[in-house]
Amino acid sequence: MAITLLLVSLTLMTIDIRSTSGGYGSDLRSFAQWATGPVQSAINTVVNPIVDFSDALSNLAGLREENERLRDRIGILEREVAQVGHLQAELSELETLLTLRLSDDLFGLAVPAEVTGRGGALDPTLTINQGASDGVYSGQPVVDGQGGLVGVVSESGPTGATIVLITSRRAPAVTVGLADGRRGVVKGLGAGTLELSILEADQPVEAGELLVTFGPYGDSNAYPKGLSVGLVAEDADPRFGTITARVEPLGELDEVEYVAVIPWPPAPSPLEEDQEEVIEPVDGETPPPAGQPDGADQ
Amino acid sequence: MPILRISVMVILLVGSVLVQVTALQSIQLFGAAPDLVLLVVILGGIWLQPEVAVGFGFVGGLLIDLLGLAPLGLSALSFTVAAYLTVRIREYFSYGLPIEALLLGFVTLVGLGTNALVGTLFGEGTLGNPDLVRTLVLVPIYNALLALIALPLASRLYLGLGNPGYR
Repeated sequence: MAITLLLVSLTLMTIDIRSTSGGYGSDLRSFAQWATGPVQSAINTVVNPIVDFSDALSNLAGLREENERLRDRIGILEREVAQVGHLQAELSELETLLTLRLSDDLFGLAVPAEVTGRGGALDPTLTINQGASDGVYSGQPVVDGQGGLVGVVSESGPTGATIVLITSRRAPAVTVGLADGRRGVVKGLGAGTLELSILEADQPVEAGELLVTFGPYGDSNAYPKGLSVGLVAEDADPRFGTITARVEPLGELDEVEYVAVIPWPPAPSPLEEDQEEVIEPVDGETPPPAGQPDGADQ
Repeated sequence: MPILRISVMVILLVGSVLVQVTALQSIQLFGAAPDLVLLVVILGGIWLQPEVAVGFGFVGGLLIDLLGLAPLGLSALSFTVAAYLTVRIREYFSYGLPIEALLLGFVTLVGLGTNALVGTLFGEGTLGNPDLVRTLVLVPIYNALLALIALPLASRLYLGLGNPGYR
């Protein structure tokens, strides 16, 4: 019995890993998310205010120690925080997400979503309540209410999706720009940490420098330009022409409750789609497009 | 009565999976949370028939896999191993609560270690995760502490169901 189940597990893993996109694993995960999504939302609705309240309590306790004169005021704030703090935070975050427009060139708004689940003790992931039916697809970047990069959609079902965090080794590397115009690459190391690498570097980087996505560069088109990625956590000097530095993510990736999925890469315009159809090879050859006499030059 | 016992365990399992992927991810102490699903699987290994217990572990792991991004079957395999190990050493779960809690923590460690090892073999890079040691230390401790509460409760529950189980 045990050996049979072990073999079944190994077979499932092998098939799941070898299926490049979609496949039965994706379908099963989508179904599981669809089936458990409402329950997860309900549990979060109950648990999140309690967690926020306990966080607020610990923060207020710290303030009380620092300044005893505010003790009475803290008591009042404690009650207010317990009553409205959670709702206000949610409202503010949702308002930000609803009005988040990335650039004039990017059509449409980002898709706001609620984090309904978190999985993976060793490699955390997020589950959100928006899926393919809402325009959420695999590969799209995900940001928090402040526009900071949270991760990338890894699996998208009809009504839900799974997000891999940027701190994960699974997340695609991010090409970032520094204030002085240099480019670097930020990669997740797991355990909530990021690492910045700059090749051919001759100047150090300083702690506290903000890193933002550089946008499409070379073959990489995973992230639009201008998303906040993190802050350089330590001063770092070039060694053999290379800089490696730890980066702290901007957002509280473990506690984010609402996110926005960015429709990136943007869908091609109808004109671009027509052009793509024209130059698409057919049967290994590129026929001259109708109405374009110089099409044979392509 | 066995059907009732299995039904109760299935309800506990599904409930623990839902709590694991929601509440416990928000309530972390020193960057780790108890593995409630593994705890329930081990309880199943103590109380259920051996074949049922191993299948119970497989299903529990599969549910976790379905709600995460790890390869489908990874947690199923490691939880199956944990359930099988529990079945093999279940007689030692009558040596008193402290010993039982320690054993439960040990089985948790084996389950997590199996997950990390097999995950790495399948390209997950888990052994290179800087958070691995903390997880392998804290989660078994948390589960052992939870066992001090869960084991007596489970014992009462099963006595209430009319059968002390297969331990």
